Amino acid sequence: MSPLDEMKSVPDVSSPETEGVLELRSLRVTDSHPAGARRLVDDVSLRVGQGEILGIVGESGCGKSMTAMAIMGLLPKGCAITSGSILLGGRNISALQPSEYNRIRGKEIGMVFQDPMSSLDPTQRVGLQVADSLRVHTDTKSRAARVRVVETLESVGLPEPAKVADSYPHQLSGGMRQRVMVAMAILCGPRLLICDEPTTALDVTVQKQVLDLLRGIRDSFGTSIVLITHDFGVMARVADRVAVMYAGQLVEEAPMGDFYRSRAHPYSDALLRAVPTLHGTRSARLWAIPGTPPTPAAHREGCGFADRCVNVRADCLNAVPALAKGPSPHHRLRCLHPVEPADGASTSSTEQGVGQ
Amino acid sequence: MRLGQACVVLLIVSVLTFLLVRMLPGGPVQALLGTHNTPGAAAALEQKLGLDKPLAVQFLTWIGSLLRADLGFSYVRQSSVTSLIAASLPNSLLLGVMAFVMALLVAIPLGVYQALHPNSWSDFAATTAAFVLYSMPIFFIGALAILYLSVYHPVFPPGGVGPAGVTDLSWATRLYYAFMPATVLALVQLAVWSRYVRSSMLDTLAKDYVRTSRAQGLSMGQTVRRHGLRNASVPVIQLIGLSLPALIGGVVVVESVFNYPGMGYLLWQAAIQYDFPVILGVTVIAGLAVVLGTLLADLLHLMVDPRVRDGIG
Repeated sequence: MSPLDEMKSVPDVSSPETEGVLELRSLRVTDSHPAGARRLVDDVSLRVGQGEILGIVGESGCGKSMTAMAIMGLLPKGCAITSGSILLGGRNISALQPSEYNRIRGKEIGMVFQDPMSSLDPTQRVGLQVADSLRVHTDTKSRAARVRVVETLESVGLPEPAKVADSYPHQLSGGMRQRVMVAMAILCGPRLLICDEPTTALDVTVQKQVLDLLRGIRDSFGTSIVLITHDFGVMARVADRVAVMYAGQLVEEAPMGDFYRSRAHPYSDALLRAVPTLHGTRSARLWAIPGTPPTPAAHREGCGFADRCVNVRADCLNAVPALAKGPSPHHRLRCLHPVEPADGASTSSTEQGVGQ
Repeated sequence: MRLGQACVVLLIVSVLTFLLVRMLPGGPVQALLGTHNTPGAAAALEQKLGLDKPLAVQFLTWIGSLLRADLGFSYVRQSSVTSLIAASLPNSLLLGVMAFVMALLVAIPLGVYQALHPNSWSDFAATTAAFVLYSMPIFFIGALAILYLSVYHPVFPPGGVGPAGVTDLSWATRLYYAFMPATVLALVQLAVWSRYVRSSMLDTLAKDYVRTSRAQGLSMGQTVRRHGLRNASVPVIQLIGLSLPALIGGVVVVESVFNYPGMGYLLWQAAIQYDFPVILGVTVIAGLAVVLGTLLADLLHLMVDPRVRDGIG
């Protein structure tokens, strides 16, 4: 870090509000659509504390992966951060030069991707690929790097780590490959780990193991984790706090327990009720949200969820609600007409929804 | 397995060539006798050359001697086909290898650069140039090269392997004389190969493991070197193996344009003179080269991609 950067980061660190490892401030990401730049991520503000696991949920296309790629500085061609900022440990990283960003990726932020088969180079031994992080960020000699890689592979629960290091990706199972990806992400001891749908491509028993591994990493190293998923079961198992995204915006954010007890956004409520349970009767149809999410737009009048919402009123169509304080202390909500606290309200709103 | 296939391919190639040259109008007898053509002389010559026997017998005799590494005796020139080929093969090899290396040395960096800057003006320019080069016949480019680089501006010799009458040629002289024909040959190949490299690299750069590598903190250049080149080379190796026949075909044309005494020049002369043994001999050697090249490509593929070694993918 250059002296200038340290100077810049001083006021942020001293302020009690920004103790987070990661902070997004009104982040907006747009693409370069011919009909006008569309907002893929729109005014997202988030903070992830030291050792905290933040879960971001939402449907496909809601902007959660875009948010992750923006944090990694790996937005696809044509997409760019047009306003807002990303602070890592108080340092604004959204304006870094590409070469400076290379020094952060893999070192201060690790990332685990969805599909562990395609995320590893099929032509190269796993150990060498994992060691790349070490090679570019430190001047570890290849022998020492090898030792470190094997240790890390062992620490993520891979049996016979030396043998795994000498294997090619196709010789490993899906779960083993995802453990390799996790080992790769934590090799340089990052303070932040971004996991984008890390269990989606795995079968259920392996999913649980990988989630337990992620929580174990948080517990032993104090790593902050951003977990992106569309699966509430995954979320409930590991996340401390939940952020719900819809159409590029953050619509609700609350600690895990509060969220389950007193979620207030009609979208969050609908999402939770779309999760099948073991207690329901067989004949009951699984609740589904009617309609489809809106396509990204340059500008939106009114709430993006309005045309699928059971609580929609006239004023919902006129203005985008601001992200305001929700029903519980650490709760934020972007809704003019929230649903009643879950306990009593859920049954009545179910009937409403089915009736439509 | 592959060796068996190679033998079958060579056999088919020789049968086809054997039949094709026999279908040419005219024939060696007329060509050799010219104005001395009388029925008696023709019959005598046919018998001497063994052309009076049934085709099958002629073919089996030829195959029989081929297996003993004997390619027969030229009808026209007073020497064996083997010695004619031995004299011209090194020249062609120099030309072919030189063109191959030159084409690769330009096609790979060019294709990679284009893949890293797709749809930029330089990408469009290189693509346009490639299509122009690819659509121009080799003999036309060759003639242009001779016109501009030998006639108008005498930079390179217009043909041959060395100054006339000199037999003991140095490497420098050989390379100097081979440079222009090799460049012409390389231009056409590199036009095609740079397209292969570009599209293969574009595919590779879109792969998830490239994103993984970037997420590890490798720069784009490091990622290309570490993962891009190797993965992109898999289809390129195959395609280059498949374009060897085109390269050899190009050698024939270039050698005749530049009067370069290689196998292609030999083949061209033999074809004009109905010199069957020479045509067959050169074709078999060319076929052998293609088969060997393809085997080499397969071997390389095996080395590059571990999934092929384990029998999947």
